[in-house]
Amino acid sequence: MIERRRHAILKLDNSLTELARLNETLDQFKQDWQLSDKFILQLNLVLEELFTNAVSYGYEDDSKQQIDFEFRIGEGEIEITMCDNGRPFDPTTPEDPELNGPLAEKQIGGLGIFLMRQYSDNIEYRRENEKNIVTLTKKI
Amino acid sequence: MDIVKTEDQGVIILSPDGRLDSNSAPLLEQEIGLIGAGDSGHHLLLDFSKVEYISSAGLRVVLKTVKERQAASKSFAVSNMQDHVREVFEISGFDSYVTIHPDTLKAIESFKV
Repeated sequence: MIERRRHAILKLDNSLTELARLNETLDQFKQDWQLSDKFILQLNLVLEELFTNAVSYGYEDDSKQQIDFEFRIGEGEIEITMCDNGRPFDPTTPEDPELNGPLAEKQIGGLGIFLMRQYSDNIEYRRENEKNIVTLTKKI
Repeated sequence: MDIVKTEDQGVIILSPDGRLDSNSAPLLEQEIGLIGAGDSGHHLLLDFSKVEYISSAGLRVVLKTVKERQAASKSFAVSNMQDHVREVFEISGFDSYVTIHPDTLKAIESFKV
């Protein structure tokens, strides 16, 4: 039996254009780890929201920074850790947005975090050595 | 992202092709903005048949469009959603703000009523 890679690291710049590389990496996982289209679309959404948040709000200026992802695939679930050196932000704390209120009051703010939570099974946050470390798991 | 613009029976149909993410959403926003300025009398349909993925950045553009079209008393709907896109729409509560038609023909018919 062919031994498959169960662990992977992805280092991205703090630029939204890097979403293309995230997408390519997940497509590769889909093949390597035989994951469904649906699972990959959901995981992509979770990671895009997390990454976009870090890129858009994490940094004071446009200087190039690195955001690291680490993937571990286990029995029936995948665990992902994202590590960035941006300003502190704990994605587990914001309240969910109002989803079905009047249109005039409907805001897009908070929806990314909401979707990230919807499609994850567990999210943990810690701040360590001036870095945000988010660890999330998703059942396969 | 390519965005094809067609017109059918007074309905402007925008068909984005690809992933509607934080990168591509501004392009769609721009394209919709152009319609607002030029052909303001028309109905607007966003055809999602070639969109397999949407994130909150794409939802933001849809919400902005819903609000702008409603404020100007102009009609707007979406159609041809693939499963994942439809699910994200529904989870986010967007199906209560914008009508989702199964196909382009039904959408065009609905504008005539």
